[in-house]
Amino acid sequence: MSIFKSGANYGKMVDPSTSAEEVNKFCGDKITLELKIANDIVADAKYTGLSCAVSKVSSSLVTEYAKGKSLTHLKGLTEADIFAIIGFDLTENRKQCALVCFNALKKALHKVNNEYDQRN
Amino acid sequence: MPQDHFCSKLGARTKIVAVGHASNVLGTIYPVAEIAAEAKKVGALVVVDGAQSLPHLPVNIKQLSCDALAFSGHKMLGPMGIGVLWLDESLQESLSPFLTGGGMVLEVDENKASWEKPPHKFEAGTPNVSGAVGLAAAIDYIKTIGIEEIRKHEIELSSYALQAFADLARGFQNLRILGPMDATKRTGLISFHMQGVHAHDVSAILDQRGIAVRSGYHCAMPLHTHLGIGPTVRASWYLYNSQADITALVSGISDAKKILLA
Repeated sequence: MSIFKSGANYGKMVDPSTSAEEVNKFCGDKITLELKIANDIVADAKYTGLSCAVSKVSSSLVTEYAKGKSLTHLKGLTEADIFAIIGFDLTENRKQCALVCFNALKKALHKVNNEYDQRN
Repeated sequence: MPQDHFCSKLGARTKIVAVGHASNVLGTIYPVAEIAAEAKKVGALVVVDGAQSLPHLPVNIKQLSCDALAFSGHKMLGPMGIGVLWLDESLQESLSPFLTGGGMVLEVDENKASWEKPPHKFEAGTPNVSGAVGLAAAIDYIKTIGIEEIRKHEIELSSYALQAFADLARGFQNLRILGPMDATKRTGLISFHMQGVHAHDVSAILDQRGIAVRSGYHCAMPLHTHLGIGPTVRASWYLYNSQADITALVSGISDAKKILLA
């Protein structure tokens, strides 16, 4: 509840390196994730959007986890890793809420990869 | 939609007017007979979704003057995967089958085919026998209690619930109750929105207290957008619910407010 109420990493970023939108297929809620990347490391991560407590808490925890990590490391994350980072049990339906930020992260990293490929 | 606004949408190009008899979000019972009368003036067919009304109200299809009416088994104590589509006799003759298959063919050769009489021509393939038997048993059960009795019980519970929600909203400006506040103008449900609290979080807290509600957009996202709100929580009641259930619901909402907004 303290993470939910503090809303860690909730907000817009000035001049993000990349961003991605993700819709929760279970309920139609949407979040936008923004990343600041320097030397293949995530320097900062923020999110905005309408979402439930599970989605908000997991977004706060996933963005916090991403900071300081390499893009290669983040690309290797699995859903099981995300549930371990979140650290609490969820029903099948609510697992979708917990994965919204992770799915946005995968999209954002994919975008960065494509941009890199286009440049080279 | 106000009546004059609805009438302004009708014209020579209007072929079908499809209307829900009762809203699954607002609970509002719509004046289908009046809507049908206006639609008939421009020669449109009237198709009614009765899934939200047939289980809750006495419905006389002839008085509604519609051409088609559909309802579901699982919304009236019956099994899932079965429903009813009633068609006016003239439509039964003029409509072509949308599916072909076993049980609907009268005669067939290499160049042409003819169909069985309705309703068989619309029931191609292996029938859902267990579903039909289950639905018939559910309808028999509802008839033994009486649809008028069910409606009376629902109005009593809705009046009690509307009062309890209004009392709750007095001390809680963020609570918005959707739909008419007159129990006779709605079916047995209340959808509500709590500003600053997500509907899924309210329903999760109610679930922990053994109260089953639906949260989200209820397959009616455009309506929520039109009302300028996000997802809502919908609590509904039927012949098996009591005032104690409503009291537990309102107390659960009050708890949710304390947990999520404190």
